[in-house]
Amino acid sequence: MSATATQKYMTFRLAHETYGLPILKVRELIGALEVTRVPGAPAFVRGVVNLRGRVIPVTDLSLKLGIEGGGKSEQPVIIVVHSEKGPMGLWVDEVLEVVTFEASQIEPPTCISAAAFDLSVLSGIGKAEARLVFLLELDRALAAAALPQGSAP
Amino acid sequence: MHLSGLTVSTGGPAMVERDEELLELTADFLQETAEGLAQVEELLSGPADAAKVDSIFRVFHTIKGVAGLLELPQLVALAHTTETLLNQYREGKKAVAPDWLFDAVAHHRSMLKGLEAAVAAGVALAHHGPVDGFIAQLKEEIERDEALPAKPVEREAAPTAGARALKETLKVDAERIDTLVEMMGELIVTEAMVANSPEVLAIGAPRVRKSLDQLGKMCRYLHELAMRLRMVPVRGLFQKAVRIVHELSKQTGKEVGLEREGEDVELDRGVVDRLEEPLVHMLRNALDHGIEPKAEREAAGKAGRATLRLRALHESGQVVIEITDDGRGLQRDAIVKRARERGLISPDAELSDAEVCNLIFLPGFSTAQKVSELSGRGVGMDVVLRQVQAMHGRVTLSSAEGRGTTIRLTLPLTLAVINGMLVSCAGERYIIPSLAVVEALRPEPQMWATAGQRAEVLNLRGELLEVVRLAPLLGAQRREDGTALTVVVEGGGKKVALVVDDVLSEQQIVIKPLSEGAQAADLFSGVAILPDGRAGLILDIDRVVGRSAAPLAEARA
Repeated sequence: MSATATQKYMTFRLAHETYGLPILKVRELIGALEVTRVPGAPAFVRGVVNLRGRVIPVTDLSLKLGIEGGGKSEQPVIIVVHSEKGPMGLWVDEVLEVVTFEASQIEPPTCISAAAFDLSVLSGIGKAEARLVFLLELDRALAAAALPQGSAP
Repeated sequence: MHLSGLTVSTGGPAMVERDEELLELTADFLQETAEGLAQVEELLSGPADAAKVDSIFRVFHTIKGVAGLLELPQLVALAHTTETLLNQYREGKKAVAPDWLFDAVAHHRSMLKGLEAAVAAGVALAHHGPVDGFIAQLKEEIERDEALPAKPVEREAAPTAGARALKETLKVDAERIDTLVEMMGELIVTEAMVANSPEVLAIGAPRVRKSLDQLGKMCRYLHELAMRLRMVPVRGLFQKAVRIVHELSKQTGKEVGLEREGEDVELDRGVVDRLEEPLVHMLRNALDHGIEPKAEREAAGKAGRATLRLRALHESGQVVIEITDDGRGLQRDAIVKRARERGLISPDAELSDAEVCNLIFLPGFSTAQKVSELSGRGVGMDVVLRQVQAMHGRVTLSSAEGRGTTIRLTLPLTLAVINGMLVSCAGERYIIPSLAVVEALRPEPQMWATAGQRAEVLNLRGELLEVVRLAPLLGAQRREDGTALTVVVEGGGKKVALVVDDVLSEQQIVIKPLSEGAQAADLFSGVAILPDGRAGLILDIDRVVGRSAAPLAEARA
């Protein structure tokens, strides 16, 4: 990730943690109402949803990243992203605001123990006023094997 | 300028324009020549008269002209030499020998293939060695004198009865049609979503209701019309069969006549394209395994010349393609023996006729004594089955020992739409393709029986069926109140009683591929948009029947 320019991130909540994705990767937000369960699919696949005639899979990002207590929000949102494999929905607990980070506000994730969290899915840690935002590398996060719950930082 | 000039774009604007013109000309030439050659083969399939020879002559004459324009000297030579031979036929100097013309068509085709590849790669068309050899052979044939009865081929004044009236047609970019069909598909889905939404359903005003009905009708009509744009007659496919049978009968030395019926039956272009491979395998199978050598046929009191029948017909909203041979039929004993040798069935298994038929569709199965050039490697019929199933179609086989075999492919009209039965199960909805449904019923209590308290059997008018409950198979809760509906489905040649909660409706369903990421679930063949706009999964009945013994490990919360 280029460390020189400012970049906008869509921030969202998984359980009690805040994560961010580059806004350019985000296609749109949809309400998490009409997901059809796919029996036999991996547990992190919430199901499929009709996005204006196109059927896209929805991944439960908390399950995918092994974040315990996530995916149980009463008003979940699906973030439709441009992934390597085409449009895909990410099931998150709540969408927060769009944050602009200067390069100087982003730290490398060296302060996180690799034993506790898969560092390859993080591009950095953004320091916002009120909190820290863990910035995700979208395609690596989607490619990562689902972590067992409880191994989150 | 040579063909290599086609993609060079450094010669200034005028040059570029000329290149584009040439490219377009080449594309047209490729298509028209392919059509012309197919026409030649069709003409050759019956007895040759003067009018037919004239038509064939015109095809090669056109090829020669355009190939000259495109500066393709070898193709010009090939077409010219073929034309010379045809001229001799026209003048009655020689009797028409279709084999030469079939070969000429084949060589033209291989050159066209080369040309297509060369254009795509932006290089000049390479010289084809085998074509030179063939031209030399043709020239020899032309030189050869034939003592023929003085009378030239008879000329008829009137056009032949087989001539078809030409309809006016329009060439359109296939991509535009696909986009149109896709948009129309979305339009009917959106229309259904609007019409079925609670807010709109609450509107009682007759004027609005009437308009909504009309709107729905128009949408469905337009969708159907758009679908029909993609439909092509199976004629082209059947013409390929003519060529394949001709080739195969030369290779096997078996005399075979091919009868064709229903060539005007139309199917989606995508379906027709994907039928080509199965067709080759079925014809090979018929020629190699089904049809006996001439001596054996005559010994059995049959005509020495075998007959293959290729038939297309409409049947309750689907298209059926049938291949029938009058060969020896499936040899039950040989098949069972082979299956035992290969460990595909247990040594003491008693199989029904339908089960025996199904054995030949297993990958790697072959009863051929030796691997021939044609078949016997054990690939073939499983490819037919897989391809047809991938299109949501069905394969059935019937055979009478000593009298022949019929393979029947039942296909949807298009790849994009199937008829489906919408069922509910534990609060979720799934689609069963109508092709797989035998009947739906609510069985009486005395029709059920269990063995070991788990294995359920349904006694359907004396026919005993294995019972498969959909809910546990899908990791959902099973409903116990006994009101469940049972759908008798057939997959992989086996009928089972599939227990669901309810049958909601039967309707046309627009199929979408199941996207990557969700395809781990192999119980489904695709996904469709339901009338309320939600996605619904289409059950793959063959897999459901096959998996019935091993339900999903655990239910998900």
